[in-house]
Amino acid sequence: MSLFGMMRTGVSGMEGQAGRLSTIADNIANSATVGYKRFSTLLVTQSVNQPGVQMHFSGGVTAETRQLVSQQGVFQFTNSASDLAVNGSGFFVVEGPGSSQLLTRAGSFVPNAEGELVNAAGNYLLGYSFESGIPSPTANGFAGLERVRIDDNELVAQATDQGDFAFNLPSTAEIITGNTASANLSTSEFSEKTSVTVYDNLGAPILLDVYYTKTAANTWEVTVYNQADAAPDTAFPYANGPITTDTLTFDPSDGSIIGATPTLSIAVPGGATVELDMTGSSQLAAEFEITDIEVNGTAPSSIERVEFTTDGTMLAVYTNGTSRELFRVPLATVASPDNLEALTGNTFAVTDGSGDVRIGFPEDAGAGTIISGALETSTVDIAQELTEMIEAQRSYSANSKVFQTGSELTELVINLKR
Amino acid sequence: MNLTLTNALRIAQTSLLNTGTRTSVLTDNINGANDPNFSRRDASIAYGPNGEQTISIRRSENAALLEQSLRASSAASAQETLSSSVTRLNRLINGVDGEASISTALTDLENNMQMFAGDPGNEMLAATAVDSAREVADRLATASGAVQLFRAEADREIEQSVADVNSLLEQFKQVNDKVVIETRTNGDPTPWLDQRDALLKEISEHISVNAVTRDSNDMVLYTYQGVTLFETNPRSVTFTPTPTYAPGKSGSSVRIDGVPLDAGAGASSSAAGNLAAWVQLRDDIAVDAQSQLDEIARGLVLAFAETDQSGGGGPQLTGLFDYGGGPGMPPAGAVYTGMAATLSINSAFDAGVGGDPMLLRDGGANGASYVENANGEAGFSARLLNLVENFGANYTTDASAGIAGSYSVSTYAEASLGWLEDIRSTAADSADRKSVLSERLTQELSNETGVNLDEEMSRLIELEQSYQASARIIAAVDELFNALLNSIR
Repeated sequence: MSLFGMMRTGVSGMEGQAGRLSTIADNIANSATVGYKRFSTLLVTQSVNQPGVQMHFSGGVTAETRQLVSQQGVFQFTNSASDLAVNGSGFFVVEGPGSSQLLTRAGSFVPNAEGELVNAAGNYLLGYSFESGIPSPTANGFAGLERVRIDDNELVAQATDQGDFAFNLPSTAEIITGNTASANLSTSEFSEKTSVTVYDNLGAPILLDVYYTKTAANTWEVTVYNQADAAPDTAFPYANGPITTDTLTFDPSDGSIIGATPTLSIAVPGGATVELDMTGSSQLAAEFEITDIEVNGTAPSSIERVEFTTDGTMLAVYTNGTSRELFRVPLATVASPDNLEALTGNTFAVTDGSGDVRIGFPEDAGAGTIISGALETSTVDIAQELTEMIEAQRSYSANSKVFQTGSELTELVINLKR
Repeated sequence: MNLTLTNALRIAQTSLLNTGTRTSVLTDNINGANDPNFSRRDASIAYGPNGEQTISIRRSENAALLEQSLRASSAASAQETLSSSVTRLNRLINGVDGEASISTALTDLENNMQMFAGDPGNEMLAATAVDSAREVADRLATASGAVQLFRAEADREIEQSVADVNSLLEQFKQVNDKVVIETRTNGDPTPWLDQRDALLKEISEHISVNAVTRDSNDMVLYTYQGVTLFETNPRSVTFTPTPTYAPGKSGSSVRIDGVPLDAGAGASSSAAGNLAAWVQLRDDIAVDAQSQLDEIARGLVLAFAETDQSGGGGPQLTGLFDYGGGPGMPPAGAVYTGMAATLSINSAFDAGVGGDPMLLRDGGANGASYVENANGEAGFSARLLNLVENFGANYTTDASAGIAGSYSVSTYAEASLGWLEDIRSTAADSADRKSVLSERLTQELSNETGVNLDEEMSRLIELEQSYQASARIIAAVDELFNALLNSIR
C-alpha cells in the first residue's frame, strides 16, 4: 500500500501489455507464413501480500509467452506434389544449419540441384531410404535418417520374377496326336497360343510365346519359347529349345486345374526365374481366353514424377507407368509440443520441457498423416490479433494512467512541504 | 478446426479454386459435346475434416456396352467390306446388270450352232458360230483375269489393313502407358481413356478385339481367337504381300503374334473386322468364283471335243475350244485350275489365222482320223446336231467349286451367276442389319457416356451461384475486417 508500489505496478502492467503487443506484431507479420504457429502472451500475477497482514500491497504482472504449436492450421492446396502438410500432431524432421536435426511443419519442399528436398527456410527434409529394404524408424532418435533425394535413382529396371496367369482352355479342342509344341519341329502343332512380356535383368522386354497343346482328354501340355528365337512366319522350329514345358491336368468334374498352387517356372534368358501362378485357370467348354495376366518387372525408365502417399512413402513414378518406393518420411512427435523452442526458419528444437522426440511413421498412432500437394497455413487469425491489439492498447493506456496517478499523488505529497 | 474469420477466408478461397476446376471440367464437357469419342466427366468434391476440399474427376463409362458396341462395329465393318466387294466382283465378272455375262454369250453360241446345224453348207453361219465361240472364250478369260486382279486388290487391302493395325497398336501402347501412369499417380487419365476407347473402335474395324482391363487401368487386347494383340507391348501383325495372282496361287496368311488369322465364312460372314473379310474374299469367294469359271471352260472343252473316227482308238481331243493343257482332255469330274484363263478358239477353226470354220461341221481339227464328214458333203449335219446335243447335256461338275448338282454348260453358267448374286444379296442384307445394330449400340453408348448440353447448362448455373456465394463470403469477411481496422486509431 504505497504510491511507489502503485507506480511500479503500473510500469509492470505496461511491460506486460508491451509483451502482448510484441507477440501480436509477430503473429500479424507471420499471418501468411507456412507452418507458423501463433504465439500468445499470458499474464501472470506477482503478489507481494503477506499472509495475516490486512493491508494490500500492489504487486504486478509478468508476461509469459507461449507458442500454441499443437494447434492445427488450415490446408492450402497447391499443384506441387512435394508440398507436404501434416494433418495431426507430428512434425517433419529436417536438417537445419550445422547438420542439426530440427522439427518443422513448414512443408513447402522443392528439389535443389542435387535433388534433395529443401523447404523455403533452406532446411533439408529427412527420411529413411528404401535402398536397404523396408525401413523401420528408430523410435527415440534421429539415427538412420538421411536427406530425401530424387534424382539419384534416375534409371531403374527390375527383372520379372513373379506373376499371375489364369486362362481358360477350350475343353472341346481336338487332341493333337502329331508332334506337339514341345518337340520344336517344323511339323509341331498346338491348340492355342498366347504371349507374355517379361523383363530380363537389364530391363529388356522379352516376349515369351506360350503354347498349349491338348495331348489327351483333360491333359494339356504347356510349352514356353523365347519369341526372339522363332523362325520367320511359321515360328516353328525355334532356334533354341523350349525354356520350359509342363503338363497341366484338369478335373473333368468341374474343369478346374489340378494342383494346390499350380505354378509355371520360366527361367527367362538373361533374367530371373519367373514363377507364374496359374491359380484360377480352367478347362471349360468355352473359347480360349486369358482371364488374368499380371507380371512384375519394369523396362529401364526415368522418373516421370514423384508422389507422396498419406503414409509418407515417396514413390518414384517411372515413364513406363510403374512406381517404386524411394524414401519414407517419418513424423516426429513430442509429449508437449507447446514447449518446443521456436527457432528461425519455422523450426522447433526439442527442449527439456517438451519431452524427448519419438519418431514414427505417418498413420501410426498419434503422428497424423501426410497430405501431398497442400501446405499448412499459419494459425494466426487476423481478427483475433487485431481485437487483442486494441485491447492491449487500451490496457497499456490504463496502466499508464495508473502510473500517472501515482506520479501526480507523489507530487502532491512532495508539495506538502514547502 | 478453428472457426475463425481467417479460416473462413481460406475455405472460401479453396471453394473458389474448386469451382474453377469444376468449371473447367464442365467446359471440357461442353467442348466435347460433338465428339463421339468423348465421355462425360464428373467432378465430385470430398470434404476433409479441416475444411479441405478435394476434387476427383470421374469419367462416365459403360464397359459392357462398349464391348457390345465394339463387337457390333467389328461385324458391321467386315460385312460392309464383304458386301461392297462382292458387288464389285459380280460387276467384274458379269458386267453392269449382267450385260457381259458368260451366260448370255453361251446362249448366243447355242443359237448360232443351231442355225448352222439347220444350214450346214453355209460358211457365213459357220464363221458366225466360231465368232460367238470366240466371244465366250474371251469373256471367260477376261473374267478369270478380273478375278485374279480382284484377289491382288484384296491382297493390297490386307497389306494396308495390317499396316493400319500395327500403327494403331503402336499408338495404343503410347496412350495405354499414359493411362497407366496417370492412374497410378492419381492423375487425370480421362483424356487418355477417351483416346484409348477411340483407338479401340478403330482397331475393332480392322480386327476382332476383346479388351481385358487389369490393374491400374492397364488394358490387354485379344482377338476372338484368343490371340494376344496387345499386352504391355503391341504384338506384331505380319503379312507377306503377294503382288500378282494367278489361278491356283494362294496368298500368305495374316499372322498375329505368329498365329494365322481365321478367315470369315458364309455370305452373312462370321468375320469380325475387315481383315478377316478381305482374307475370306481373297481365299474363299474369289477362289470359288475362279473355280466356277474353270468348270464352265471345262464343260465347253468337253462339249466340243473330237473323237477318233478311224477306229484306231485314239484319245478324245479338244475341238473348237482349246486350253493351255490341250489338245488332251482335262481329268473328268474335277476343276482344272486356270482353264478359263487359257481358254481359246482352236486356231484350226480360226479363219483369221488360216483356219477353217467349216471344221465345225466336218470335224478333223486333230488330223484326218478325227474327220466325221469323210466325203465332204455340204449338207452333213450329224456332227453339228451332236454338238448341239452335247452342249445341252449334263456333265459331272466338281462340288468343291461351290455349286453342287448336275448341270449343262449353260445351266452351270446360270447357276454360277445365281451363286454370286445370292452371296451379294445375302451379304448386302446382312450388312444393312449389322450396321443398323452397330449404329444403335453406338447411339446407346453415346446416350450413356456422352454429353447432354441441357444438363451441363443447368450445372453451369449451379457453379455460377456457388462461385458468387464464395465471393460473397470473401466480401463479407473483408467488410468485417474493415470494421475492425477502422476501430484502431
